[in-house]
Amino acid sequence: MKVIFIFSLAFLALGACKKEEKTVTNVEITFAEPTSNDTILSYNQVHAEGTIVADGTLEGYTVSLIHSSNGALLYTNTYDVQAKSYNFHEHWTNNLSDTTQVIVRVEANKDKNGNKATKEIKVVCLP
Amino acid sequence: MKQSILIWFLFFGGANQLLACDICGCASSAFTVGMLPTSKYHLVGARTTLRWFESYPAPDGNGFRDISTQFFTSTDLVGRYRIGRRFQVQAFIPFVHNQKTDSMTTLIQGLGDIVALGNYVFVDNMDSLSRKFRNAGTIGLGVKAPSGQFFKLGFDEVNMMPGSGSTDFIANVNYALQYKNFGMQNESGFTYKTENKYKYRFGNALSSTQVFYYRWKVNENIILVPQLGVNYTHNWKDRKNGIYAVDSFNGGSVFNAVANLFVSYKNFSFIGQFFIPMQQSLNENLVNQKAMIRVGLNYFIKSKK
Repeated sequence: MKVIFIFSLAFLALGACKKEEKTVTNVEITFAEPTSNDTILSYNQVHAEGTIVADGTLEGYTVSLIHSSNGALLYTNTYDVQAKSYNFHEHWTNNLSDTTQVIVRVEANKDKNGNKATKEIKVVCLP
Repeated sequence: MKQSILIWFLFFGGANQLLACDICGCASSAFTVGMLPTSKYHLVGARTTLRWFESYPAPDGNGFRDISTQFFTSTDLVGRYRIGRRFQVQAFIPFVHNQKTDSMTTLIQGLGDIVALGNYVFVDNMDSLSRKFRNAGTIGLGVKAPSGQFFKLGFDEVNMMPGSGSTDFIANVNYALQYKNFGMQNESGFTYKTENKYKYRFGNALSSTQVFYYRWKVNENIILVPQLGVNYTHNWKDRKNGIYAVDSFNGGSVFNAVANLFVSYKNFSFIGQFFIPMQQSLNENLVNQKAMIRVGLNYFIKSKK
């Protein structure tokens, strides 16, 4: 009985120890779509899809589409999700009135202090 | 004993559906359990549900998708335990096998989301032979646990996954009215779904089924119960990170014709159910439900209570 009690206490004590989070050093962002310099017709969708994989727990990610000439933010969506990997999958309809190079940017949050891993692909949106 | 089996048979089997949705697989179905009779039996059983869909070309980022065919199959182990006259608990352990075929075949399978339910019997006089009209009704509440896999790296068709990743809440009401060997029953259920870890929330789901049946006692051991009826199912749209998911394959309604056959033999019962869509509007008509079929086998164990 005493042995069971001791083992139970030891088990609880071990369980109570806070698991140390591994610092993220390596993040791999992969685009399945679009590919670089894809041409998007007017009112067709830019389809941003791919994966993010890290060697530790990430603090979320953001997918943004940016007008490369003036820096205007055309679309953004932030996911506040703690995980080691994600599938990202976003859509934006090309409603631009001029031929525009658009940056598709994916940023993964390595920690809560603003350290990020970033990958970009440029596509051409036609009016 | 046979009557209790039959009551279970009529009620539980008759409107027992896991159907619901468009092309969303078991993960996001409207889980409605069906009537729980106040029979004196515990039960164990298994059932398989096959749902067949076709998806038509939908705009993609760079063009159009191929027409695809989907078969969503869920094989559930079912157990029920009776607690007193008025309460029962049930559990469903699904194994999901989802297949999609377009230019290639994609297969996803694994343990689905386990469901546990408690039911309260608010009326039951089906054993009362002195009554012309007999009725029975149950109200149930339950929870679906996120035991099935929702995330798979590099695979973003969430409707294909065995699990929803969310804890969902289920409510259902069943009522049956019987006159001699004729009867009718209704089962309605609502599933409230929550957001999962990855900020994806499947749409809530509603299902209601009305059937009419006839009980045919073939001999002392065999009872046949054919049923005909209708079913209406509605799924609300999914939300991703709080907004409607553009890439969702969910949302819409189906109006089904229902034909069922139940066969009772001693402590066993066999169930065959067929759902044929009469009218539907799924995912802005890009998805077409072709049919749903379910077969099941149950074994009854006498309760001491």
